[in-house]
Amino acid sequence: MQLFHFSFMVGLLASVSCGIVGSYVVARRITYIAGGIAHCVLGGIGAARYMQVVHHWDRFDPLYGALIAGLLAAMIIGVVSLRAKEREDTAISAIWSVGMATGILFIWGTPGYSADLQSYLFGSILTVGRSDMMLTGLLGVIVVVCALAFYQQFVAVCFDEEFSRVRNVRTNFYYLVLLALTALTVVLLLRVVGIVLVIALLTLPSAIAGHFSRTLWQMMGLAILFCAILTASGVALSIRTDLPAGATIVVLSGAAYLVVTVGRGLARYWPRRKGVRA
Amino acid sequence: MNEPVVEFRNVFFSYGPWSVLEDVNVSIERGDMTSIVGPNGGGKTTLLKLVLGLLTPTQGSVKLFGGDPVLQRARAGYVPQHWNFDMQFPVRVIDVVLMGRLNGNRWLLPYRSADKAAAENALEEMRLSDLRKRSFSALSGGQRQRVLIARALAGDPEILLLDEPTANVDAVAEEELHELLHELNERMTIVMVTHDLRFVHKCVSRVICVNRHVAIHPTGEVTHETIASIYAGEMRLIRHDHVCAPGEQH
Repeated sequence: MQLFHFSFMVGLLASVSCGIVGSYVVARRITYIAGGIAHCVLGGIGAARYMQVVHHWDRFDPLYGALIAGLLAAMIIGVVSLRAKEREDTAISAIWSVGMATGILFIWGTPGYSADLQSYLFGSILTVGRSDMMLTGLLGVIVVVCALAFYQQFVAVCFDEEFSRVRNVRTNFYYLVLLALTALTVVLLLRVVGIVLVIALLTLPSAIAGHFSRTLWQMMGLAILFCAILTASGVALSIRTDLPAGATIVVLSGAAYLVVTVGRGLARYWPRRKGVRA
Repeated sequence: MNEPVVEFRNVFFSYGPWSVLEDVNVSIERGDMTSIVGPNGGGKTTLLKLVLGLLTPTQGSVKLFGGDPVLQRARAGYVPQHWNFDMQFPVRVIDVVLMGRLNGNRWLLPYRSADKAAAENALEEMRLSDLRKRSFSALSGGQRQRVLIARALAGDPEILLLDEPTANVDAVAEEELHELLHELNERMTIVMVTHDLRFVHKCVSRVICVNRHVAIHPTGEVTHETIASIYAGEMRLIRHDHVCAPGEQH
């Protein structure tokens, strides 16, 4: 039971950063960038694993590799999108697939069975331990402090970049910080849902929250709540049914998003119908 | 204190190989109500962005309040095109107006009470106080336009630069906007990009016609011929486009 206790704690801790950064990502419409960063991270994981096994860099945990690769990807995509906006999507696709390919090459070159590869691709929240909890907590604190300290600037830059520049806000700097925070959040969600499913957890709870929010901080608060509920119930469900936890969490999130979106659509449709009849 | 508020001297601007403005010489005096007209793609918005230091001229110099636009632009209020916003973005009217109080020199900021007071004043002046808690996306085009003007006013500007304030706005809202801008002109310089030549004729003191080159006219001198000459390229394409002539109704 101690084991599952960590799972819930990591899930809750990850939800906080996930809700905050996810709201920025959804509002600024950069989920595709988040996807690129997430997949590129495999390159860092593969490289770190290779160094561990082949060169005995024992302390070089794959998560550190993920962190470096994620931040690097964020900076490259960020600079391209600031310097050559029209090439942004090409750059993202390139980073996305080249990062993954690099990871695969490293893993192929690493002797021994790479069972934990699966856990990075699809998450392994049921097997997290104390050290994962510490790392998630630490990254979480960094993300939350940055994201809240610069709240006004982030909102302004996301809403109207040009106007913010006229007010002499350093918009490029804040945009890059936002991408860096996205990279940190992706890494801290790795243990929960894995590379392939990270975007779902980053965007779906925030997108659900967006339906009920008039301000970005409301959206963040609700997104944290939804993310926590979905993660916890996903974990609980997968313990009961022996289904993979990451995928369960994501399918639950998708179902919730569908229900809320359709529900909102109907709610908007019906009163109008009644109004017409009256 | 007689220096022009805005001054273009031999300004050229191009996006890569595409020349947008050529040899522009314009100055705008304090208290002027100037409007920039011209065909689409003629360089009107580019002119505004040069004034605000959002773009840098390829050649020549642009001065705002006698200095570098980047250093002076905090004294200007910018009102961008109001339909270019993400309508899903969760933000309230008051939050948008408060953005006018942003300041690059302040790092960690919750807004202070002075900021809130300035934002409330600006809202009231734009007759929006009732809507302050409304979602920005729930507003009509005209209301949204007024919110963006209020945002610019919150920064206490000496010059207001507006990009197509009356486009995509219904007739009543348009009339109201004209009134508000007229009032504002009593205390600040106003420059706006517009298609609305009826308004130009009624209220504006000077017209800058842009189609790669720039010609300046006092309003009285804007005749059918001047309009025809700047719109020449377009009018050949769309023959009935001469509704732009002053006096004629849209």
